[in-house]
Amino acid sequence: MTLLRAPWLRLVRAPRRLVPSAVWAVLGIVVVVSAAGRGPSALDEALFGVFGGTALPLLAFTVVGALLGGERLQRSTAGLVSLGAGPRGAAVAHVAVAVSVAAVLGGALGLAVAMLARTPASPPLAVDLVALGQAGFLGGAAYAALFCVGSTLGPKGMGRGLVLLVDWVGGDGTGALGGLWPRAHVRSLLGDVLATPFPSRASAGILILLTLIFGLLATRLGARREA
Amino acid sequence: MKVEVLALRARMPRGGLELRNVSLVVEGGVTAILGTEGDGTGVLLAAMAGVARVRSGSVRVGGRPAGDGALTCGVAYIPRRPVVPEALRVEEALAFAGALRGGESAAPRARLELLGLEALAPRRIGTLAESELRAVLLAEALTSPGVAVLLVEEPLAAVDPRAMGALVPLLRARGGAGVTVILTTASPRDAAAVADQIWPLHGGVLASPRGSREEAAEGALGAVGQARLRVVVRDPRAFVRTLVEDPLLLDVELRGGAVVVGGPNVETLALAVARASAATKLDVEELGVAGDVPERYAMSPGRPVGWQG
Repeated sequence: MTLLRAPWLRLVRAPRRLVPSAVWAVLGIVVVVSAAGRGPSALDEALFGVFGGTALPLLAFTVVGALLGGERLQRSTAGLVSLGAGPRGAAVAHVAVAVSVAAVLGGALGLAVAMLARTPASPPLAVDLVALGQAGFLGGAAYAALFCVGSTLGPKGMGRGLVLLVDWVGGDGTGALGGLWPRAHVRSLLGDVLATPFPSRASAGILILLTLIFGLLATRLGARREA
Repeated sequence: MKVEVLALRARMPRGGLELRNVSLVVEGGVTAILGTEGDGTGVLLAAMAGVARVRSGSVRVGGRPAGDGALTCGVAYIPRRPVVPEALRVEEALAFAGALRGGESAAPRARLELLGLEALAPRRIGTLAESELRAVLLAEALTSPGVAVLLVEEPLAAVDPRAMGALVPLLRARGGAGVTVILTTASPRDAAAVADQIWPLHGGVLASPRGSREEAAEGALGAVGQARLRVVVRDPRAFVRTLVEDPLLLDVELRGGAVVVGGPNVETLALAVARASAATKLDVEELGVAGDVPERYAMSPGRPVGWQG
């Protein structure tokens, strides 16, 4: 718990760093709600493209960036190591806080969209809340873990931008490679049956698995010490 | 805790000078690595902390490879530009480190008071100047019962002036209490003031250690009438014209584009060079202590080597 406190305080004591996350969330809600006014098919497109494809990844992207202060994950963990923390523990703490915060904010974004963007053809509110909340929660977590991996690459952790791009490009494919990225599985959870060859329940499990794999990889890379 | 460096070749991850076949074993007491950052002192300390890129050889701390995760709670490493979570307040950082390092630490404010830093307790780390942050980290390391090895770059330079008075006795006390204190310094005088053993490092090569503090002080500062300094400036002739008028110097000569001055001791020479630098408005680009060990010291702005004023 001691280790989790430092990255957590970095977020809560500099709330301005989360302003970009709030901007993406609000923009996502506004666009999806306005699409709902144009009918069910426009709403579906907005959910897949804007909520799942843009607002959610950018929300996780900005959360990870804010948590790491725009630095490499290794440099952020070095701060804790200088106070006596083990490098592995310090990396785990950063990844855990990033994943948790992005999951909660992603879930909240999903719930907000479910409540505000409704059409006469929408399923019952409870069903929508569960579906979008789940997609936001699991998608936010998987994206945050992925961006933590990206944060270990390049100067100032600029690999975050690279993996965002790769997810945008690679995650749109419906083949086996597309299934390696969160994007396709978030779309699947939102009801896009063509996004992956798997049912949406499998996509939920795959997102959890991706979160674990990316999280472990980020921890391993982030624990490498550098001057 | 024993620090063993064996046939080490290492450099910083971003490149730069490489240490060449450096070996030393240190256990307890205060050891100074004497030389500039350009000589590789920072790389050697970083290698002991496990953050330098080791090409060959080995560095072991307490029998484990340097940088091993199990060592971080007992090894305090304070580089020139330390990284600490900037959202924490100073007192939180000390409490945090106390919890991680283990042992019964005093209250954070009491620990800061030892170095006269108690006013910094409520400040956020991110608002501290680098010299203040280094002083806080020194206070943390010097007062933590969990620290068995203290690696610190230039503890008597670029540190908050409030902490200066108490630093030397505290460093010596910790070394005397069995903590392995290894510091780097470009100042022979600082090294002699604090260290039990001094290892000169020049151009990535470690010379033989000087044993006692007295021996080290004599070797570093030079016996009366024997000290010579080599000074590199952009206009050596103008520099010589000013130096020859200094009554304290025994001889001044121009050798290979550098100015070589002789005098009673290094302190006097350094003062004379500083005065000449101020009079001619010429920056001293390089300053060398002539002795049995070929040492070179870069001039730090406003603070000549071997001179404390």
